[in-house]
Amino acid sequence: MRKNSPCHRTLWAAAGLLLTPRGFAAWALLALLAGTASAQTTGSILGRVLDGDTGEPLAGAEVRVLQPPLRTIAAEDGRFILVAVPTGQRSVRVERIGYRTTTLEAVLVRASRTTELRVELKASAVAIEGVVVEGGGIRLIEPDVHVTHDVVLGHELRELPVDRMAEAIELAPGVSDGHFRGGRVGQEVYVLDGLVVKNPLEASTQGFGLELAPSSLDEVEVLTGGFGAEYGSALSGVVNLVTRRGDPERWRGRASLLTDHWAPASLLRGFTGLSASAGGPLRFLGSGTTLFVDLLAQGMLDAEPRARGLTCLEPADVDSTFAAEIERMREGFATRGLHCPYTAPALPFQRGDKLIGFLRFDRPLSSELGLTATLLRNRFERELFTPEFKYNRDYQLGQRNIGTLATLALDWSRHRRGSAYHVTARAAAMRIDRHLGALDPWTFRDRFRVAGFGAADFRFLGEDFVRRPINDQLAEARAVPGYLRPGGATGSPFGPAAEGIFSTSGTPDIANWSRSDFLAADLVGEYFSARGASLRTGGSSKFYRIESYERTDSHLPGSAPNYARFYPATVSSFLETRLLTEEDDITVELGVRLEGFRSGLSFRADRGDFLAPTIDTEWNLFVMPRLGAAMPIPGTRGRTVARFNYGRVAQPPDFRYFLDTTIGDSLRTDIQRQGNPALSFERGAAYEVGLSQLLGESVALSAAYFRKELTNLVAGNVPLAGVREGQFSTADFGEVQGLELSLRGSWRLLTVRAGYALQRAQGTVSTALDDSIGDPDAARETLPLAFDRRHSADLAIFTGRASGATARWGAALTATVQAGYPLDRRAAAGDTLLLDRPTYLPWTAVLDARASFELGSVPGCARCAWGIVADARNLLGRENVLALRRENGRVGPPLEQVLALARTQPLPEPIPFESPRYSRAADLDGDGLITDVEYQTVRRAAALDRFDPSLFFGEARQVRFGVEMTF
Amino acid sequence: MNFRDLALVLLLGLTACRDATAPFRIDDRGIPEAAAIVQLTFSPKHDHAPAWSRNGDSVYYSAHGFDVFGTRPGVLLSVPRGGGMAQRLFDRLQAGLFVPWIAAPVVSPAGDRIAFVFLTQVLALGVTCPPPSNTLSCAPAEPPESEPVLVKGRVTVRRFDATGPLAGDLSLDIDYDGRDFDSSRNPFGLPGVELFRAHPFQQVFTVDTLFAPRVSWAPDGTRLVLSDGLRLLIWNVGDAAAAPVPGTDDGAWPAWSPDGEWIAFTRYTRSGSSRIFCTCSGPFGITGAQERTLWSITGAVLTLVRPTTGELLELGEGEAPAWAPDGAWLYVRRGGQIWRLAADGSTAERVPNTDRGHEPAVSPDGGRLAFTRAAENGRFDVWVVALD
Repeated sequence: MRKNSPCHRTLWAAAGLLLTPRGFAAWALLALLAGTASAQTTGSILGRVLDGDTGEPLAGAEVRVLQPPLRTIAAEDGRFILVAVPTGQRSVRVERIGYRTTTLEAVLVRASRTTELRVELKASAVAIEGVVVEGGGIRLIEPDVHVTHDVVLGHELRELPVDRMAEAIELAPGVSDGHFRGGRVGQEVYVLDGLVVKNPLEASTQGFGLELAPSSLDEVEVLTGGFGAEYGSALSGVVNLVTRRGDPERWRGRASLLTDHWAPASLLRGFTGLSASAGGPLRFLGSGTTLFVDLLAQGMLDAEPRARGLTCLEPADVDSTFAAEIERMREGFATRGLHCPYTAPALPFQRGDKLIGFLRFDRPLSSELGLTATLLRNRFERELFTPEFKYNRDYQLGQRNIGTLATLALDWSRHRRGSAYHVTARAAAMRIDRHLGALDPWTFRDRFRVAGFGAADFRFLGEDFVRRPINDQLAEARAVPGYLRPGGATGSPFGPAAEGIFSTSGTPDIANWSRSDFLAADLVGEYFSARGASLRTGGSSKFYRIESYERTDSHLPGSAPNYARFYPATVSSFLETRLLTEEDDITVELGVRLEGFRSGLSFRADRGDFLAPTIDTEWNLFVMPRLGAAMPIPGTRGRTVARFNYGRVAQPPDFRYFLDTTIGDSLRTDIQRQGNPALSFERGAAYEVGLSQLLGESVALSAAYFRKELTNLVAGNVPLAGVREGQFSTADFGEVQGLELSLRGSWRLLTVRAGYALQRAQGTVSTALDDSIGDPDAARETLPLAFDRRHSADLAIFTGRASGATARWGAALTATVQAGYPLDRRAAAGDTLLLDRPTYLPWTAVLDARASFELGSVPGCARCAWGIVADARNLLGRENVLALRRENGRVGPPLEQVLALARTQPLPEPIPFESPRYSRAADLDGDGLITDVEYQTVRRAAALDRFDPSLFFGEARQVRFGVEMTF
Repeated sequence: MNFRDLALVLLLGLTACRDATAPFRIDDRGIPEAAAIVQLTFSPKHDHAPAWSRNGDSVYYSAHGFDVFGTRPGVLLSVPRGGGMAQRLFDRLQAGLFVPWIAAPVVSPAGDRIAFVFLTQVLALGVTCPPPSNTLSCAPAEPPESEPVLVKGRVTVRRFDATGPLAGDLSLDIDYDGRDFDSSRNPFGLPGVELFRAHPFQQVFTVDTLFAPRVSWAPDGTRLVLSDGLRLLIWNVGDAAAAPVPGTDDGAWPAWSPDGEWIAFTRYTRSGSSRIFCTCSGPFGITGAQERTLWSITGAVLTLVRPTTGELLELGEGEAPAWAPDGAWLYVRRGGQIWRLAADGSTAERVPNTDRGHEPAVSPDGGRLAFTRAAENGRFDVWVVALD
């Protein structure tokens, strides 16, 4: 592959300019000129001003949003449009000479959405004090919206029993375990304040790569169907995140500390979370300038709560023959200690912490131009429990993810009578850095921690070395510094019998890191008419630098790493229009989107032939039409709304598929393949129809049927032209269809959201059997996709202040019930397919709750209040099996597999007591000698222990308490 | 402090103080320190020659076959006196394929050096005939089973902090009497006759691999007393040769008294010899001849010799003597167990729990006795017993 071409060097030299403020500003300007694409972070208010007595339209009325100041004049027909309105509850004032001024309070504005108002002014001959009325709240049905979406508002996020943004997203119908409508993880895209952000290298395994604290968000919108032309690089879903901005009136803040450290050992997961946020005006920089900062620090002593501890296999986990073996071991006088020799409700070497810092700065530059800058930095690190290193006190595997995102946005809007223009330009720089490797023992022995949280970063053995230029590493031909040959068994309860099963000495052997950088720029221009029509267009470009490094056998001098550095690029543009019929009852959106990407790699298709011609990858382009329509059903007085949408979707494959890697593809075949830099888009086509019905004034019910056809999914290959066997291709395809029901209820002190999804996700295996070469169709078999949950239901109940009401208390309860995943019984390694029909895992159910109560003011701070918080997870304590072994459909392996691991040569000599290899547990008759018979017996027990089923279960039960302070 | 503040402090305290699940900790060697008797080694092969470290925390011994060394004899090890994991005393000295047979470790009075005997040549007594011979005939009787015979040794003094090879240490080569080739006798036209002489110390070595010619430090740390199997010798460490001690014929198991006045040793008494003559024959006739001379051991007499004057004092039966640190008592093997004798011969008493004991060694504080004991399978292990 070509690295460091002159073009790339120039590009990155230019990128280096970003390190200077002047350079960054110049680049941002350049980006503006280049053009880009993004979603909106603001909403619009569309309305009509009428004479309260006659009902006639009132032209010339002045309509203003108070903060930030926005102003327009109603047109001849009384209509007005205000754009670039920040999300949240806003005050709207309407004035006209001869009429009493009216202020609408708490008008809810949402990102990318239009809030409709109808304002009736009362005539008044003299100037008198205005009136204040309650503005528009949550719309239970949306006659003008054709997408399927779910929204969690900021005040709900802060009351939900969630630690991560992803947990709030899970509450949307059709989303489960990061899968959106049956799609693979990574088929969704995250839009942060209008900027499309994705982990380009490994979204399918590492997810988003960036994380925001729930307390830093003003709104989370989850789109699972019908997303418009502005959204790209997504096959299955879009998550639109809008961050909070500081209150321009006064400083407000909130801090909370929750922990489960008081809990008994069976409930202790070692969670402690400190969350603090504050936002307010920076008046010295001018009126309207605000700052918002948010900090989240979490310490986790057992970072993988999806475990039931180190309990090794129980008889119920395995088949009857195996169960009898375990029973014999448990009942034997000498062998009973060999079963589950080390059990704990939490896992050791699972510690970790999370640190997220977010800062947002907003400053109006003029009445029409605003500037927003954000900086997000997060760090997530944890020790990784690995069964083979279960008894190694010195070395463990660890992972550290650090993400940084800086954005700069200019927002220009101009309002005219009956219309408005809005232009947004954004520039961003991002870095996602992941390191996986053997931890420096300092990390878990001497790193200063409080409640599991440490300010210092994890240290890894040889990190400096493996990040040095690759040629330097190869020239030195040495082992990664600090890495030691893994092995030994001394120190395990099985002694020498555990050799080759547990490694009690040495280090895990892998050193792996990746770094994804991008520079992005986008530009969106919008025109809105006060009649509700709009035209939007924009484009975006991103330039990446990707580095991927993996070295196995790191303890061996000269073992060569897999390393790649390359420079992909993506571009996109879109055009979208929103049209309304004359009677304002049918809304139609038409759009088209163009996306392109280029891997930036040159490669030889046949690596075995060094004379084979080098292939330069070309731009891949894809055009996607999007169409959507929504309308109230005639005769229902707007209480019933129908919608329809259709669109082609596409996303570049994870860039890691350009490189050699092992993947769990959409059918979880865990195949190892040669990278293919010439992969094309993963594509799909989706359509849905939906119906929403308002029941009474407080409840709405919606139903949607969707169908999604996915093609060109990354897979192992079939022998296609131009693709070598054993190389990634985009040949898998699948289909997802389903029915979703959702219910929304809103009362004064109660908000209820419920959803149910029935879906079927099927894929076609394209991995060829040996006898099907030349006839790929002969090998194709349709099976449920690995994430085909047939049923899922979610419930979220908010009450008190969690529902948005003014109250001293708040509570939120969430419940999820889901059908199990299909049990994929194909072999874990290789491509051999056992074409039996998968069965499904049992259902899972989780009930979480959070409650808070304000106790009063804080002495010495009149505006401060404090209260207590209780947060409980998996209240029902269900085990929730998430996966079973493919070979036998059980938690435990087949007996033969354990015996195969245990099988070894007989001992040449008995092992005496004084030997370093001696273990009392293995000396079953206590005569000071471990004989061959004892050795073999204990070795079986060790093999059994190695197969502990720790990670096959859902989140463990947790209960936390804490305090919260607001001001 | 009001209740609210107290609750906050408690919460913070709980949060900060509780730590993660502890990693697994194995502790499966828990022999109580105060136990009256402890079996230190359980090797399926011989463990011999226990000796105390200077501070008395550990017992050094010579093991036949250990850990990765499989069947290699004479690995020098250290094991905690309460039992536990044994470690090689000299990692670099005994590593890889080269594992010299080291016997009789003994720490110098200052504790900075250790003396031992490096058995440089140990031969198997050939009762099987080499190819192409296929028949062994002996007269007037069949010989005992094949066991090693001592040929050469090298007394070595090594510093504990030494890292170099054995060749750099002070040493004295010893030839043990037991094997010769008599080229003056040419039966059947052979070039000579191989002679084996089974002296008492060779028989002790042959049967139990007990190394009776062990060494012992003089209290001043400048001299060693040793045996070549037939007499005692005193070696001024560093000299090229050692001087014999008069009157110590058939003396073995030397032990220098703490005050330096006496050397205790065991004198093996023997009766008249008998001879066995063996021939090897094959398709081409007789190809070899061996003559073995055996003596019957009739006793093991504990003897004290004053090296300065040659004065001798016999204290009755006693093998492998060891001095108590105060020099008032001697511990010996007598009648199949360990006895304690007054140095003047006035008192003798059994040491409890030492049945089948051998090779006693008293700890520097005099509170413990390490010794070897033959298990039911005949193999020796090291034990420690508390002394009154």
